[in-house]
Amino acid sequence: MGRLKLTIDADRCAGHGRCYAVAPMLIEDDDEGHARVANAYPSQSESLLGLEAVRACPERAIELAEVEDE
Amino acid sequence: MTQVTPAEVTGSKRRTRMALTEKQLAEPQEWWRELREAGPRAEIDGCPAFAGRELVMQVLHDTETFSSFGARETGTDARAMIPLEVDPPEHRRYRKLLDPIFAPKSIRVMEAQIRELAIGMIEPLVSRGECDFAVEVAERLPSSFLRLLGLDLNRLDEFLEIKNRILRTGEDPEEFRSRQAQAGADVYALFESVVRERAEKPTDDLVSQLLAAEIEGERLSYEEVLGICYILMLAGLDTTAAGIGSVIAFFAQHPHHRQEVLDNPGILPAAIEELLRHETIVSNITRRSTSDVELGGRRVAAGTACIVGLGSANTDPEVFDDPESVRFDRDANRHLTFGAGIHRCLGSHLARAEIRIVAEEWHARVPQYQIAESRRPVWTQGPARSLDSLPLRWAV
Repeated sequence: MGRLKLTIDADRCAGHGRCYAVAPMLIEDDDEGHARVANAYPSQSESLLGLEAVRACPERAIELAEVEDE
Repeated sequence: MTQVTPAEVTGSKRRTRMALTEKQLAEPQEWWRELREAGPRAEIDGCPAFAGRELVMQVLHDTETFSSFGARETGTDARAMIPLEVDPPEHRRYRKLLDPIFAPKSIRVMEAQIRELAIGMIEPLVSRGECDFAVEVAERLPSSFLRLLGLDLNRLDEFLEIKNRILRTGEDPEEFRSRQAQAGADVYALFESVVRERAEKPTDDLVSQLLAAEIEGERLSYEEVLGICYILMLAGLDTTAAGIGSVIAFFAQHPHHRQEVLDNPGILPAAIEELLRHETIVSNITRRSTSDVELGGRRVAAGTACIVGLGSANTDPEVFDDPESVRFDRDANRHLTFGAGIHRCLGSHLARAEIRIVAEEWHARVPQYQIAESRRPVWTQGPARSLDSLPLRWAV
């Protein structure tokens, strides 16, 4: 059974700030206002918010994908 | 999607803004839809327009083919607005310096000051039962940010007048160009004196920071600092005023939506995002093609001014369900009101904070209001659609 992992493509992030507005427990803002992963492995209850962050990103820079347990 | 043959090569070298109709200004969503549906035949001001979400994203992310330099409709001053009209790699130098100043962390520190200013503007109006919200609040609130630029707020009326001379298109393009050139020179003169003063005696304002900043071991030149101040003043004053006005105008005309926010203040940030999307106050921006290019079923010659339809992208049914309706419960709102890619609006986080704070303080004191009887909002055209007048009335 894998689990969900959240990743952000820093080259794509343009600092819109939509993701850390909708999912602050998973994503935080750095000093330039760009997004940084705060918690790469959302719990089951947090994964919906992670999905919302994925969908809110205008640049399509965020991914939430199942990975094998590391 | 159907295959289309490239349309004739169209478009002019520069964009000359034509007057919009009243409907295009007040309720532009239908026009944005027509542009999108016109596909490769979409044009604004004689320039090819890219209007669907996918096309808009392609143009905004291909900065090599679609340059930000030299796309503006005027040729009246030779200086580029920095970093708005600068391409990579230089662009990155400036944003590296400016992004932290306008990052959410920095804006949070400014919030108390913005709130104080908003309350100071709103309180005296409450007992009057009427006001022109565009003139008395929306246009003046962004002034909090002029302090950052080292400008004396007592001269606010003078700054607003210059700003309007530069940005308001008017009917006659020739008249507009000469008016704009003079006003542009006035802004530079204004900042030249500030820059000179700060060079001698630095304070904690942005101009002093810019003068002291080093990027890769190099200081900014006076010219660069002036270029940055110019765009910051215009964008900071105008677009935020337009954003604030458009949000309150919508609430005044849609009491059910307003009640949703009054009943549940927690949804205000989402409501503002939705209104930013629906209103897209800067709805059509310009780029210049650097080579012959084929995109969206049309061929565009090198050196053509191209329109990027942010409003059309924000109401694209491929991305948003029921796109022309305002719905505060959209679960994902990846609108492009602040653009996309490297030129994403530097001031977006400040703008959001200003709009939210005004709405909070206004609704705390005047929760029920409407457009004054027998009057109507008066929209005006510039880089942003904004309100010259928003006559409101409420019971006291």
